[in-house]
Amino acid sequence: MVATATPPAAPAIVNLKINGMPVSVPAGTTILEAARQVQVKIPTLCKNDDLLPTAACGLCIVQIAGQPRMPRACCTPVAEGMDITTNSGELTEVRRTVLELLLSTHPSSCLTCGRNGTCELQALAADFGIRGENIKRVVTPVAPDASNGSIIIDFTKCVKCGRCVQVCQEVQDVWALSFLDRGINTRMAPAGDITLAESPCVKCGQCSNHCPTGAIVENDETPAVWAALHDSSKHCVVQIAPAVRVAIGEAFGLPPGANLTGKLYTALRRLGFKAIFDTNFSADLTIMEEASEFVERFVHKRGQLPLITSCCPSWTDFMEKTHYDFIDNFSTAKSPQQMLGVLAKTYYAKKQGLDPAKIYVASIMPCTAKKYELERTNEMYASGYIDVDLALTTRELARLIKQAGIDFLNLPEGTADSILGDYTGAGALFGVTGGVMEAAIRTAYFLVTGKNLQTIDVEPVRGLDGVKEGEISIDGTVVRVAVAHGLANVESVLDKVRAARGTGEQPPYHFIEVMACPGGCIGGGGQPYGVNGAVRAKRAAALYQHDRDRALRLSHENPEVKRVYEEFLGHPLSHKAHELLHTRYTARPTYKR
Amino acid sequence: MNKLKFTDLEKYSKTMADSGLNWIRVSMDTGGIAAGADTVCTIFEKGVGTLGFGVEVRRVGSLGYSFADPLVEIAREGMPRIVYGHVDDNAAREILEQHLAGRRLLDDHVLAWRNRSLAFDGPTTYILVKDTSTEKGDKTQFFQFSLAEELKRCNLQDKVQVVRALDMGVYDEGVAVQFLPSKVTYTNVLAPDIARIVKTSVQGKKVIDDLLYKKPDKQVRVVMRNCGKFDPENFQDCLRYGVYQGLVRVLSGMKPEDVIAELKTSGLRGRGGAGFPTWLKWQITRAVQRTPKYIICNGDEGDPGAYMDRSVLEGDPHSVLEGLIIAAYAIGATRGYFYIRAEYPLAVRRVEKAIVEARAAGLLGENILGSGFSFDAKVRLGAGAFVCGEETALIASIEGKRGSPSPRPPYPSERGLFGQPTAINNVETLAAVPAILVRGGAWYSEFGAEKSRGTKVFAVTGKVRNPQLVEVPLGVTLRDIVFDICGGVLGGKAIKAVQTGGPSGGVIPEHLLNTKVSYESLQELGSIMGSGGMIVMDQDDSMVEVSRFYLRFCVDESCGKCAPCRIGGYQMLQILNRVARGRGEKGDLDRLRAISKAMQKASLCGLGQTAPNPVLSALRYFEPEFKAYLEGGVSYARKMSAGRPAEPVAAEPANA
Amino acid sequence: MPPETVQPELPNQLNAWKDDEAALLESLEQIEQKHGFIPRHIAEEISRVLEVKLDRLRKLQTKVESNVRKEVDALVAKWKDEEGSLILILHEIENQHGYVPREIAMEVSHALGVKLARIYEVLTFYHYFKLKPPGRHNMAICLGTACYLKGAPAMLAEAKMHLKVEEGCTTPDREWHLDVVRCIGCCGMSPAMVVDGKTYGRLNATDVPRLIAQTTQPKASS
Repeated sequence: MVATATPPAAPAIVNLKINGMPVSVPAGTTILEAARQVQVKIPTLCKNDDLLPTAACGLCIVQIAGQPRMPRACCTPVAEGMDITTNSGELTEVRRTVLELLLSTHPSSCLTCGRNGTCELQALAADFGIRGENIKRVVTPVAPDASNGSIIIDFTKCVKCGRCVQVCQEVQDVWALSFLDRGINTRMAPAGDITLAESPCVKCGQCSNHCPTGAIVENDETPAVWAALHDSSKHCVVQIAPAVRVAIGEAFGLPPGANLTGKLYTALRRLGFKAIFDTNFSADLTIMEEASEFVERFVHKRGQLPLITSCCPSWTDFMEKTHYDFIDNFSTAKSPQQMLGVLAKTYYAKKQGLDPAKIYVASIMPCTAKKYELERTNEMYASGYIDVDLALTTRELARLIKQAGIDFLNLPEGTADSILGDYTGAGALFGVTGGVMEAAIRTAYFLVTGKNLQTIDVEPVRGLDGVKEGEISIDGTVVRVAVAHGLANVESVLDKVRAARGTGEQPPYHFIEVMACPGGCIGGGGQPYGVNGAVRAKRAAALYQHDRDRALRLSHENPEVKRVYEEFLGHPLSHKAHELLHTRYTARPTYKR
Repeated sequence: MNKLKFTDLEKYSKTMADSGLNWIRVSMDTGGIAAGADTVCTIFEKGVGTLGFGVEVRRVGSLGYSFADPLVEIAREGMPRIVYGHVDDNAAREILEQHLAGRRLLDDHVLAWRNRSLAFDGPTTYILVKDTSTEKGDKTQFFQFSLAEELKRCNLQDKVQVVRALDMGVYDEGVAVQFLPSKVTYTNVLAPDIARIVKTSVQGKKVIDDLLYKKPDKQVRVVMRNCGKFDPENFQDCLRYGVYQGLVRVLSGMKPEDVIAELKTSGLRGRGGAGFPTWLKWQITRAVQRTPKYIICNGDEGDPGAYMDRSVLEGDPHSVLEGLIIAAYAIGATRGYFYIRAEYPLAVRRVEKAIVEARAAGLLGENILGSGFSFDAKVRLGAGAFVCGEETALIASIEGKRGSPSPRPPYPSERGLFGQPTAINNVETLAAVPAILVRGGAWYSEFGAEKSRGTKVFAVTGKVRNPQLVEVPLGVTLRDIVFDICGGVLGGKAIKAVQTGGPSGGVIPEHLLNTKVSYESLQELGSIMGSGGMIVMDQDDSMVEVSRFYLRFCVDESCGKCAPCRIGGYQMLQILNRVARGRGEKGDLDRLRAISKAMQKASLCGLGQTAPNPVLSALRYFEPEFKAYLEGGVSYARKMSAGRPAEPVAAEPANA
Repeated sequence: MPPETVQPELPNQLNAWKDDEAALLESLEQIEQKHGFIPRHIAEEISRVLEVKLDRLRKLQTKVESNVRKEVDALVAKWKDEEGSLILILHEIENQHGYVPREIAMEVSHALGVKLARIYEVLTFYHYFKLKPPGRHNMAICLGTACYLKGAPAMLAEAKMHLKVEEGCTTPDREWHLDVVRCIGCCGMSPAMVVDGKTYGRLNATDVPRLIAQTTQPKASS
């Protein structure tokens, strides 16, 4: 499970042969990667483009002339002069047996499985033409874990590839999942036989996003949406998150980064929603609240610095469980999803003369944790009812659209409904890591100086590096910011703040943005399968382009946001704003038992 | 103990090791203690005070003759040195009264089968006698009586005692007779020979050529050179017997490259089973320019049926530590670990004690013997995982993780413990190193054959008459080991096969027992040398059951990370289970072969790659037996499991 | 292996308290059955009593936790400068308690800064560590190759029959725990087993009941 080591005296470029064809790659490249150069896709199961190889499944074996064994292509680095065969009778025979072994401990319930049609094991069985059960199937029934409402684990479908464990431990530093026992009894489970709900799981869904089979899937709540849509007594409205629009196309075969905002609006309207709102609108609203909060703390010295963003529910869960010494630093502003929900059942209801009890707010999110956020605390009922009734992931929406028989890619462009549907480019940036920070800075600058930034693009917080730092000068005062994405990157940032606390120095940062998922929401746990660095970059690029394409790019210039304040909330951080748009946090150290 | 200097150690090399004329050595390893050596030792310690002359009682390591535990070696001034076996409490008391006080040997306890000689070098004082034939009727007593009578007739009864021996290392050679102290041995002695034996050999001190047993003792104790000689917990004794002399030679002027060159000359290959040239491993690790470097002693002897490493760690821990220090010097390591399985608490204790003593004496730590070389070692425990004998899994275990192997490359010599260059050597390999440094690589390479040089310790157990540890030069045949040294099959039954290499190895059928033991020859036969476990099986042992046993072991010990081993082993076991119960299905043998191939080729580590070996090997030589299970069904299976084959199973080779 | 030191008895008050609560619950159930609800004055009184009890329980828990913390802190202080010491720490806990209790594992996780998931990964991987309390006596029968060939399966069957327990399990009265181990290295003395830390060799099936009896009622002399 270690990255390849480079021998000190190796040449910078390695020349070798794969299936008789010459290949030249940099030293350190694995055979699997090198093979792509000659259009060879060696079969894999446990290897994921986004993660380090675990070398578990044994499917990617190849033959190297002069070596008796069949090494794994995913983790073997190329060496000068290697003569590799990826495709011989013997290899196919062995791969087939390995696949048969994997299938022999896997339930044959494809037709009713959450990954029917997208399962990687299913694809391999199809490609290898498996017909019939040569090796007797042995599957021990184990009750699934549906305890936390966001993701469901069906342990019988786990192929022990190790991806979810790697993601949960190394990438997210949450350590909710692990491998227990050994040998044939090896199982993936939270530490020590507890349910997911009792574990440190923050519901980020990265495990479900990387799982090759139906072992970990999002909690499918599409039946609830249909029930609501077909209930004539309900007035169903829907909001759609920024990150969904640049990824949903992948579920319909488009390459990553296609911005399908218009088609989404049309599809949702045709599904039967009475009003189409946009979470980007409430993102702008969040910025108003949060930037004002920042000004309160930074300029007027009222409150703790650094201010830390809180729109990511996985992050707030992680903070409450692990880093609860930062509770006072968190922005009390709710997430855009929740803000829109509460406004729908108060402001919108009032304006439209609707009974809020009959309003049903659905949200389409790239995120599995948003399902958890719905009932996080009492403040999620600020409207007097549950503010957001249901959160669906991008993957669930794709199924919804297909079930409804909508020919998504050929839809005409549609529009959102105003008063809660218009948004600026800043709001759209919420979907990408650094986006919240950039939007907040654009508005904070205005709130402090009364002017807008010369260049509103804040480059230092852009990109896919795990931790980004920057300094912005607001009227001569330097504001130090940090952006972290992927929860494993949080510790080093917070430790710096802790160190400064300990010595009484100035905090190293004044404003910190944290997104639990690598890449930010565009890499969310509920997004279409197949994410890797390149996909994230394309989805992110689409959002930055969207920002550039918007007429208005500053949250404080959003006319609908201005109207909400004028007509309803008063001003940012007003009493009413606090009542409806803000929340609280409590320390909840992990492992209740 | 103060820190030693070169001069102190040089003095030790010149000291007479066996000081003291009267002593008792009690073999106190785990096996001996289990047999009751502890109480026996206490009886000695309490009893020697009543004797009136000084007798030192020592707790020593095991001599390796496990079938005869508890083992006791006695030295009494004016008497030949005697090894007694099966010493229970009564025998212990008799040793005090009869042997030490009365200068008379005990009947039925003497072990005498090494270092036989071909000529008399003095008057005979004791004659050992034993009927070694496997036929009915034990003539030992008769011959003892007859010899005693003949001696009486010649008026020698007061000068020579005739003693029934427990074992003389000679088997199926009729009545055997050994003269002490010369150790001349006669075999196939018949009653008419008695008179001339007494006349010619006892009185005349001449050898009778047609009775002389000329077969040389095949054992050469290099790794086990010190086991059973001194108390492993007595540091002074260890030094007196020459431990650390190898280190002295290394640190007084040898460069690391010289050490590696000496190892290269010796031809020493890793004794843990892989047989990788030790000098090459050290050289590769030495070449990596990153520090710190680690050296690890692999004491995770998990092969069922193997206990060589345990015996060496318990009996001569300082030699292993010495080997570790020398290895560290060669590769440039500053830190070392003993990784010992937790099931060996005595070995752990003795190694920990050895480390403490070595540190106090300045043989571990900063600036060893003033050479500028610094190195320290610690003990780390295993925790019940056979797979942790594999290099990368062992490293993961020390790092506090699950013992799952990692893909190689990178090899541990490049990136091992904590990401640093690491060399891992087996206990036996390290124990041989000091001997090689003291006597020279050329000396070591004299033993053995071509590509497999030196000696190897085997643990011969199972249906063998005398289970024990045997150290022989490589190239000795399996038949020599099982029959000549260990006495053949228990109960005189017919031998069916010898299993080598533990759960990674295979069976060698009877008709191939004349194979010379070497890494290559065993591999050609479908087995491996492994760590040295050798299990003897007789006609009552079902090959299907044996291969099932080993497969179950691999399934239990599989780490579970890679699918070919985790699922393949399990599915193979399911198939074997139903075959062994007589409910095999059509195509099962083909399935076994297909899954075996997948496991061999696609498993991540040696455990999975070699787990099919016992099954494949049994199929290679005993396929008719498998077929009989498949065709004979449940009733055949039932008969076999009761240890009674329905009909003699053919021992001919199937088409390989 | 069970700890060697003498265990103090459970205090009598603890037993009485348990009965107290059961009786209380029963009478509450009777009231509810009879009247269909629990009258407010009764509920209030019981709530008050419960508050007092809960408070006492919290104090107890802190005491127990601090004991656990002390033990773990001592262990961690001993090993904290050593690399690769997690398994050794777990060994010490296993030797002290006969198993690794979850509370101690959690405290070790806390004190060492090692995630609990990692500790459980390790605990469940290595067969040496037990997660449930052991029996008072432990019988570990060796099933290595030599012992297997020389009749260990028969010994195992005998042990299962006499102790009425499966391998790897503890008897319901927690008197005996039966284990199967793979090769303790006494192959020259096969078949062999370890009972309460003492190794016995050259056994057969009839020795099993003898060893069991001998261990549970130790005679004056061996």
